[in-house]
Amino acid sequence: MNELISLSFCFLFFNVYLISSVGPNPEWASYNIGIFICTRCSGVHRSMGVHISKVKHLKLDRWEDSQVERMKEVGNIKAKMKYEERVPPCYRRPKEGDPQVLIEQWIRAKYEREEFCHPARQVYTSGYMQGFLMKRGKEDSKYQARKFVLSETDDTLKYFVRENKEPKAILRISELNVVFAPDKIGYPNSLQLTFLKDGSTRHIYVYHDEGEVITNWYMAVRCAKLHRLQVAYPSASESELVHHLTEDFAKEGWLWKTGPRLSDGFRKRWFTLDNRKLMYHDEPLDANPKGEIFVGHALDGYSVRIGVVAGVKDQGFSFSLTTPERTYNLSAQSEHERDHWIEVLERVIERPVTPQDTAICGRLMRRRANTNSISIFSPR
Amino acid sequence: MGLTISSVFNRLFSKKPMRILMVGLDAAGKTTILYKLKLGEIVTTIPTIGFNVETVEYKNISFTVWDVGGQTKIRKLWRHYFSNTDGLIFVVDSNDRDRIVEAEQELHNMLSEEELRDSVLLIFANKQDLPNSMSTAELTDKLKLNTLRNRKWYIQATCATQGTGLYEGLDWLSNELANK
Repeated sequence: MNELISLSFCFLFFNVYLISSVGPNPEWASYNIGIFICTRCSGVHRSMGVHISKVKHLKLDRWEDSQVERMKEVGNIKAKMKYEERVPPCYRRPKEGDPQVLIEQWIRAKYEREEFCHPARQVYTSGYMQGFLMKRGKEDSKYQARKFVLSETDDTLKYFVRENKEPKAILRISELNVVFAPDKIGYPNSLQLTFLKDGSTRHIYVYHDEGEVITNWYMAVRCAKLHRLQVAYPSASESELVHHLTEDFAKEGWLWKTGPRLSDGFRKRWFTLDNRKLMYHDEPLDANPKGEIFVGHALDGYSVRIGVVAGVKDQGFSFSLTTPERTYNLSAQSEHERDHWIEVLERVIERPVTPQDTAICGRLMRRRANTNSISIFSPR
Repeated sequence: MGLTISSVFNRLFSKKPMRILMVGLDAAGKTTILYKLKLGEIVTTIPTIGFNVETVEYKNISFTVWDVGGQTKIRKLWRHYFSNTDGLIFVVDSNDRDRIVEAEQELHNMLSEEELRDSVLLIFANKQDLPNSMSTAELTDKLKLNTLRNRKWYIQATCATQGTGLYEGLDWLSNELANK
């Protein structure tokens, strides 16, 4: 009998559920916390242990009356008010399809550490963080423990090869993008740091055994960026600024591209679209792209279309990207891949160019002028 | 000549098969154990509705491990996996004091089945890393293991997420199989 009750009231709560779980289909519940959850979240809840969360399936488990009562009494709205009371604005709330570490740490932060009930536990909001991360060596590709220090007041993220010596590199937080890169790096708790150095892009790859640590670093960068943006744009609203903290790559993958001459054959390259910057590399984990293409607005002469320039041998599923300087002949592994690349590139080309975009373009351009090469955009 | 070279080779080097059924209450850690044994790493799991099956090679034995979902209403499906089971692995969440009686009842219900008369029983006292977990001595008592008659059993403390205890359990199973 009580199972029927639990089923009927869970449908009543269906809409309520949607506001605090990650995926669709709330077939599960945490009956001590009093919330409905999706299958993916139920896995995380179970991994915390029954002293934090007790999970039942709505239909495949038996429900006691007291447990049903508890669900009615709490529910997702009340639980959200309690466990998400003070989520800092810089915190990235996960969506369905986000990396597992982000979803897992969001759930652990809420219910295991209760970070959003106790702001003092939010170590990433203080503007300073230091600790060791495993960093991929640029030359030997081996991961070594390196000390990283983040300072919001200096706008820097530094890392040290030897602790008491000068930093190996100093990164400007305001020019840094951070993305989770579990598939690419091969560790679940890993980040790619991408920044401009002397007019071209540099990538750093790091991981840590603890999902909490890597997530804290990610949020710390976001918090520091938000605070600096708030100083720079005092009239802008916080909800507007939080969209400019970190940006996941719109797309990454293998493509084939030709060189600048008509006779050049197609070569396999790893492409990454980071906001308006389309980079290509020999290998996915390269420290520097071989070339980078600024993707501007349609009105400034940027376009993408199916097929290649006349005179170039069509190969596989080809498409071409035209910039004011050059047309790039590209080829994807499948029709689906090609169409997806065209779709994401079109989205960028249609989007208005912001002053920040122009600044990045300018810095890439400047380097081209300085080095006197034909184009920074051609292979080095 | 009855023996060809390849059959001699097979006799010397082929692995003995052992059919293992792994059950226990939901969220005890069965799937995590299975993939820790199979892949040597911790996979992200979701609750098992149905089953997972993997072959794990260890010490000249090829363990075929059936990991069957533990949600209340699908426990009655366990019996479909009983026949020809050489070894039962019953996984307990040592941290779940509220449901230890439920675990004990499921275990004893299952062991009364005729089809499982000859299978040996390995108990994994899992999640030993959690703060309030019960010891193997306490679990032996609460699972009433000492009341078992005509049954070879062994209880092993484990922490699947760190991989501790799992191979000790397989060692016991392989010894039992050798003595059969």
